Amino acid sequence: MSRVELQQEVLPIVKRWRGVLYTAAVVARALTALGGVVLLGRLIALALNGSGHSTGGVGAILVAGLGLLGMGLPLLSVALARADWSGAAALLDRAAGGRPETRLSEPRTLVRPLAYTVVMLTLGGAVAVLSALVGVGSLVALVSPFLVAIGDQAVIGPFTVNTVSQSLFAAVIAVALLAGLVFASPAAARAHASLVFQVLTRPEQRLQRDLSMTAQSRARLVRAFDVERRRIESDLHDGVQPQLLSVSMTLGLALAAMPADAPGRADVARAQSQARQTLEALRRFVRNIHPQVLIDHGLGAAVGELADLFAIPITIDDQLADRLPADVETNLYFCVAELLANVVKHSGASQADVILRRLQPETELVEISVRDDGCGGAGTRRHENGGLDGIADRVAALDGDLVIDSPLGGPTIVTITLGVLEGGRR
Amino acid sequence: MTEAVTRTAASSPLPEPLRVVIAEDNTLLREGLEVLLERNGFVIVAAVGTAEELIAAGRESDPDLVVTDVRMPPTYRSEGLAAAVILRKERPALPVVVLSQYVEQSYVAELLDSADGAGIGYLLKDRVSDVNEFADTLRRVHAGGTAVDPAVISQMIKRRRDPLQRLTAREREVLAVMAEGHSNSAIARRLVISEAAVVKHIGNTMMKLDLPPNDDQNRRVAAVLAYLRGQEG
Repeated sequence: MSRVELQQEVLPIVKRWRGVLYTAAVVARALTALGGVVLLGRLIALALNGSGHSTGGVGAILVAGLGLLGMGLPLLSVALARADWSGAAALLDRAAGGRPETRLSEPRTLVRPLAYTVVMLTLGGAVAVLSALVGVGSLVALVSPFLVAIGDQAVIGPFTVNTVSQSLFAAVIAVALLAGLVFASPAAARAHASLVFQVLTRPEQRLQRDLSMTAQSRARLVRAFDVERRRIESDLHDGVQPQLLSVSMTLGLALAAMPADAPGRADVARAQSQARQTLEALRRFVRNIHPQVLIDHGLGAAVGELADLFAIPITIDDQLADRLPADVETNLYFCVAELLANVVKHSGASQADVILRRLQPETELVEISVRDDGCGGAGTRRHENGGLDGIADRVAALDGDLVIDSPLGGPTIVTITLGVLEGGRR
Repeated sequence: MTEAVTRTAASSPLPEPLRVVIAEDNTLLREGLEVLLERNGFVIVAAVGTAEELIAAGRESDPDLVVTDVRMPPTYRSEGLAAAVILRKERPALPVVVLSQYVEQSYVAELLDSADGAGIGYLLKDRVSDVNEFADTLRRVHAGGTAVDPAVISQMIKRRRDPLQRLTAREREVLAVMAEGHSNSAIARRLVISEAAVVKHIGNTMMKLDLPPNDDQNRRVAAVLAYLRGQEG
């Protein structure tokens, strides 16, 4: 399933009229290129014919002609490759950033455009000429009934049309051919565009592009995940919690109005305490989803409140003077939450420290380190590693570094470093 | 219902009912609060849903007490708190009770810094379901008391681990109830111990926390809170 989607992302379905326009443009370019080559060939041939007397003169002119071709063909190739690349990129909605480098001064970069041009001049040229002929012939056939009606005649290649029935027959065939061309255009456009990418892009360039797309989509996924968490948190906070609290309040009003010995009073009291317990459980749950204090007071305060929830003493040394970008704060918060949960679950530590600081003010590097006096060996036991993998994924999505220093016997120091230059990140 | 009203009226005889402004963006809770307070002998002069309306209502109707949520529109951060701080700047003695969904120490600090602790309450929203208790707390705050939710105190105690480790479990309980603004006799009733024992526990606690003994209730709560939050940052 995901493979199919990936394929579609690389080669989206081409809309019909877009495909027709694209194909027409490619055919026009191929014909122009063919024309260019024919012109160069004509120049050489003319030179050869014009001075056929002295052999030395022929040699000189041949060398000059080939030189002209040698200069002309690369120029033509670069122009054609650039034009077709832009066309293909526009057709398939690919970013123009991956445009292949072509420089006349550097032969290595010209090999692919030259190969592409040769293909386009031979195979592509044949197809282009054929389809151009079919197209022009069809158009003539289409107007042939009018020509015949005014007493003229239409000549389409080897055929001459001069009766009404012939012209109508020709028009029908022309319509069929034109419709065929229109229907075939999207497929032809796609095939050509993928040919352009295959031939003109170096394999490493393709890999690099795939890699950067993967990195972007990973970062997007992490962000989307956090946005979703916040949505769930606010839904619960603004919807379910007040409702439950309202139930508890109403029960409280009922209790206050009931005489001490009223029948059923104990049940109401129990219902109220159940509502309260549910509310408390919900509150803990919501808090773990996304703490409001993170938005209001920033990373240091949120980590401080978090630390209060753990059974072991955790000291927070918050040296971050100002707030970090929101998605960085969220990511770091969940990293620290996961790290502290790991400390409590696995390390057997009696205390932990969290240090939040900026490494160098000018580079905006932030370092978060969590250390504990536990048994060490973090990350060595595979089955306990889920949390650390999650942290590694988050940190990697932000282009940060995660260093785990955890010798057996402890202590464990986990350090996360990442750049937070807003906008200039990555 | 009538019984509840007569009982509260008997326990705290007031010449006039307290005039309250309620600010809570959730309609369900706002209406619930209105019913609750009206049944307990308060008069609701305004019940609003935004911080702006709260400031306007606080200025216009000159209430005896403001009860406000922390998170309110438009950004759902601490608008309610900010509005309360603004109102208190204009009328320093205005009693304010802030209701919060969570224990957030950052909010407590913000609140107490703006107020010296007198005539201030910070309660978890859950407390409103103890109807009579909640009404009593509002009256204590109106009388100039400080009422901080026991959950906040216990979290502060956890955070200020080092010196507070020396407190016994009972002393911590007393500290938590004391921070709600209760008198010694009320603490004794709540914890089902003698008043003499309460006095002894408070004396020990004050000594362990290096706070000089003090009879004034607001000041002793404020002192404890100042101590608790003083060394956290």
